[in-house]
Amino acid sequence: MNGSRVTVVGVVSLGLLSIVAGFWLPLNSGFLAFPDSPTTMAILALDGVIWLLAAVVTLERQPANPLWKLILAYLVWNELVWAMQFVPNSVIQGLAATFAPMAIALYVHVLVAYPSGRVPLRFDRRLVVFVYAFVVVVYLLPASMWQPARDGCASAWCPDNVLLVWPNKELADAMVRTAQLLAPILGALVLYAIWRHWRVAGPAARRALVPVAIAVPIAYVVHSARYVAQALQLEPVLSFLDTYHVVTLTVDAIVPVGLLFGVLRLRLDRGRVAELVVELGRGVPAGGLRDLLARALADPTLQLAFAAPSGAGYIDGAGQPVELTQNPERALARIERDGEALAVLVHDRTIDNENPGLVEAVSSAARLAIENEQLTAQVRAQLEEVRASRARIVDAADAERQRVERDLHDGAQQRLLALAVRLQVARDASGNAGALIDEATAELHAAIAEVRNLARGIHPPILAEAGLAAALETLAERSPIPVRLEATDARYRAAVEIAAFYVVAEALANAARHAGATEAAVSVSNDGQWLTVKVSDDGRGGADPSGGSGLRGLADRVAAVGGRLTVTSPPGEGTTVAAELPLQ
Amino acid sequence: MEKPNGSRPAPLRIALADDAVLLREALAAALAAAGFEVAGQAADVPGLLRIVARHRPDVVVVDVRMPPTHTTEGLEAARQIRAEYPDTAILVLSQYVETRYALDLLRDDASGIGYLLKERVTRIADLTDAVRRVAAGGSVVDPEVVGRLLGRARRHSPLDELTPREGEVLALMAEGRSNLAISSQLSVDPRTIEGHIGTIFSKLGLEPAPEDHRRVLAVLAFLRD
Repeated sequence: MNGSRVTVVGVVSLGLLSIVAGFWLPLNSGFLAFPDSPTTMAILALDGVIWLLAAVVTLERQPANPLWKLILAYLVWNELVWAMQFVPNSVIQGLAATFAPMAIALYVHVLVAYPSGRVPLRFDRRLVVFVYAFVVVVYLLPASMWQPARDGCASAWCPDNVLLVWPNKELADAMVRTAQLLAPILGALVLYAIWRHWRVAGPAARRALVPVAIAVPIAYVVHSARYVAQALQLEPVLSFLDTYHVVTLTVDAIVPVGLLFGVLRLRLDRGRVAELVVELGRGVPAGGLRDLLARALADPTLQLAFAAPSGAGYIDGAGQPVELTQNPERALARIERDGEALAVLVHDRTIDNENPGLVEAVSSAARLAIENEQLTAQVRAQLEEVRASRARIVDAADAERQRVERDLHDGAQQRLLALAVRLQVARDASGNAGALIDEATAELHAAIAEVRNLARGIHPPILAEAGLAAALETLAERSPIPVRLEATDARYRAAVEIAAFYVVAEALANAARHAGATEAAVSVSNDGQWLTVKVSDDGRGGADPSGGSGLRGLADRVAAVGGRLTVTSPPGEGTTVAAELPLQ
Repeated sequence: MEKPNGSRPAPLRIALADDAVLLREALAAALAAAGFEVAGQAADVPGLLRIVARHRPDVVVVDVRMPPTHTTEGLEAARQIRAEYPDTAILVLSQYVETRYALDLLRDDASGIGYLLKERVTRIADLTDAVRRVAAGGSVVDPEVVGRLLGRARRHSPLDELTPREGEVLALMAEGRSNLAISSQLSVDPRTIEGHIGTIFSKLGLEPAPEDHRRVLAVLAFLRD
């Protein structure tokens, strides 16, 4: 006999002892008529046996799950401790009668902790602690104010209350009545806790929750009716409950039946690991590993994340950074290689309770696929980083161009202009040097125009000031060939406006300079996600997008903001340059 | 204040705003040498508005690009001065010609408003001419703005119907020139010019506008569309 057998035998012995005591002690006390019929006795016995079975099944299936201890504790308390109040000894009787109601708190504890046996959620923890405290206060305090010998006994034997501190029957009765009235509210909170479990549970956990979720509301209605009827002395209801005592007792037994069915559904599904291995053998579609594992674990909320290439944080299969979902309902399984984290599985915590070892079995079976997908994810993340850095480089270059334009404007251009004005004044006072000064002024004006065109070509200020349409208007006006422009005054993010501007500038320059076009058309449109800029000319076509630094540079610039550049240029049929730029 | 020589008109008083000190000083010196009174100089919009409030100059000459953002502060200042002191003439200077800014500036009321390329005003004669024209309630539009508008791509425009000479007259009207100025520039008899203008307006389908600044608006509006 191994250790777990010993435990099972111990549990069964203690449970049966409690159930037997629950009948034997009252029946032999001689001072209380109990029970009223063989049917009632049978149902009560069956109720106890079902609780015991639920504890044993849980222990057999999941020795690590503390749920079986809770069930056993409830059973012992509800049968053995309760029955001790029929021991004809005033100390034992008094203590047992006072502490037997603690079974109510254990009952709530079992239901809230089901099926993991733990109460990791703060709401659940507070509820359970509150119910324990509630039971102690509303039963222990009245017990210190009660004197059966004086306040009247239900039977011939009237024990002395050893816990009596301050006899006050009225207050004690009021407290008990208040507790009975509050009981339905506490019951509703228990229902709410179970509903919350249901809401966040994966399919595996839901399978175990179904019987309990059906049984508890039914029992709730009957218990609540009885508590309220007792508190308010509602005779019709009480006599109805008495008449149909057998029915209400049966309803009570529904809860352990639900519990038993629930724990019977907890089992390790090795078959699913085998299925997974077969599916892995067929090959995993790119990014499809998570779905495969989610199916194997029956957890659609499963999160598969890989270590980021930088070593800090996690990425998904597409290489995008992800946040791990972390709450008490989720458990985290790390998959490592040589002590280095490869990936993590964030899964429904109940999987570990329902199927201990399943997550490990699944991740071992999928280890090679996980390593593959981790490598792919890392490459994707690095690609994303390169893309981001390219965008940053373009942004930095644009900022630098803007700075150079500003420097030219504030520096050289102002000096040249001031010089031109001074020369004009000097000319008026110079007398015979006038012709010379006029020549110098003409040269100076040429220089001013050159610097102006240079500065404006480096960075057109109107683009940032008035937007794409205004800047394209200027481009169209300055183009040596007629340009038809269709654009609205909408504004876009700066990088997109700049890219669109340079696409049009380059395409128009090519049309006039190389393609021999006589006219061109520029259109700007957006569909809410993409900005499309199109430049068509009627030139000779045959432009090669890969040759020449102009179009190549444009393609790079467009790609840097996440867009696409297409050049259609059949010989003799003109050229169309189109850029699609993402608005976000 | 009583002038010693009562028959001579008081010189035009000018406020000058540009954050480029060298150019501003040079322009101030040139304007003073040309017989104007420089009432004050400013490097930004608040400084300009203080000068306008205190000295009530006849003409404000303001650069488009000034602190703090170095974008279109001068245009904003022009709008503000126009709203608060409608009698003050404004000449806006710009490093680059942007037809959109010029048209926005002149859109509602072109009287006493001008938009000139900065390098244009380095010719003192052009500067003083522009200042006098806006001070007299006229409009001044940089020839490059007009050139750009005329050069816009059009299909089957009434502009194609104009003779080269009528085209020249149209451009000068768009710059804000008076009939007299146009006739002297083209060395043609003023009555001939009036004839050209009548033909141009009927060819373009425009209502004849007697006042120069209204005529500028009509012509610019036609060219813009």
